[in-house]
Amino acid sequence: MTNVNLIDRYRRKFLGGIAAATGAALAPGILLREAGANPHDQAVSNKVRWGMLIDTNKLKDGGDAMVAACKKEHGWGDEPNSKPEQQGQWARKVTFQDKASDHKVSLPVMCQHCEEPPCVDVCPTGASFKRDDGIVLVDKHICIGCRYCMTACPYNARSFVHENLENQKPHSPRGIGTVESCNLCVHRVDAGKQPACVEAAADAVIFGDLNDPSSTISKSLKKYEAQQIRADLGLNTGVRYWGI
Amino acid sequence: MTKWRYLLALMLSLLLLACSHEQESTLTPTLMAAQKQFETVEQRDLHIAEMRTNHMNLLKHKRDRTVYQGIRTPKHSLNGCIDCHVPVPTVNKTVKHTDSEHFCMTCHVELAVKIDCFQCHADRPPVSEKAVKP
Repeated sequence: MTNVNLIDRYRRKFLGGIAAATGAALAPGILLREAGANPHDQAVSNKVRWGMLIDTNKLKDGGDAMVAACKKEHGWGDEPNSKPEQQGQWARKVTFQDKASDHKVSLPVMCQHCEEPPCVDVCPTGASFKRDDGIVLVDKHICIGCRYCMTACPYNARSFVHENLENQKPHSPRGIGTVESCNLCVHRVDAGKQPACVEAAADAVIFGDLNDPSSTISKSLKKYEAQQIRADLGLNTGVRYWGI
Repeated sequence: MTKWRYLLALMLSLLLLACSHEQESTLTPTLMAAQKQFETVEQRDLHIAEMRTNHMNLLKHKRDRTVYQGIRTPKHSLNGCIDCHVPVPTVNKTVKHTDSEHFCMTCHVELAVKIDCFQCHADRPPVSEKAVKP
């Protein structure tokens, strides 16, 4: 009897040791990821949720530079055989004017990376999905091109590739028969960098971790009470605006 | 009796067909040389043996880890394969996946296995912006 107890005690101690060891190994790993030092070999975690805050007052061109940077980064929008309405459109500039005051505001609209994305709800194959770190994207390997997600998206953020493409960017695969949208530049985020549009308008956009209360974006969100578009839908978007 | 003879003949011909096919498949087509070479012949042969039988599984496994988990290590990355096995486009020559000399296509044309990787993925290494500008 005492023998069994001893073995049990030994086992518990051993297992505890393992837990402590992995805990110690994990903590610096997570720190590394946040610092962007060597993040390539680690899976994304739901400890972070990426988002961005766009200050439309500081955007002098209403977001043209951001859209252009996105176009350049991913190579969409110049499909030679597609009609204008069929062109890829990962981000677009939307301008609206108040009828009474004539107040005009322009803002770039792209995938809002909702916490509760409608596109994911309706996808019949699971191609439309939300990554653990909050980025909503399409797994084009299993996308069948049904375009339910395009219909479901309240922000009109998605587009469909209608023709055979050539010369795609190695970091941004896109092709015929699949739906595509802003992926918050996953390839850059995974490398510890900021999305291309954020770099193009560095003084007007803050990119960061919405889950971390001490991050610049979280603090600014609270301070400026930044809005989401179509807040009535309760999607809790990851892309927020200030000044609209 | 004649029935048996027919059957035997059929089986023999099938066997012959199988043998001749096997003989053909041992003659692999000549592939494009990779940009980087292994230090030793053993390393190279190991790589060839592993990739010949397993490249599709490795690529698929890595693809899911990349798309869903954001793991972008160079090992088994499609871009990594392309960067080494397909030459960088020059002013005079660009090797595309529609050409039979493209590394992937040489075998896939031979074996009549259609792949659709390159409908979306880049089939050649990127040309650096510095190289384009004179």
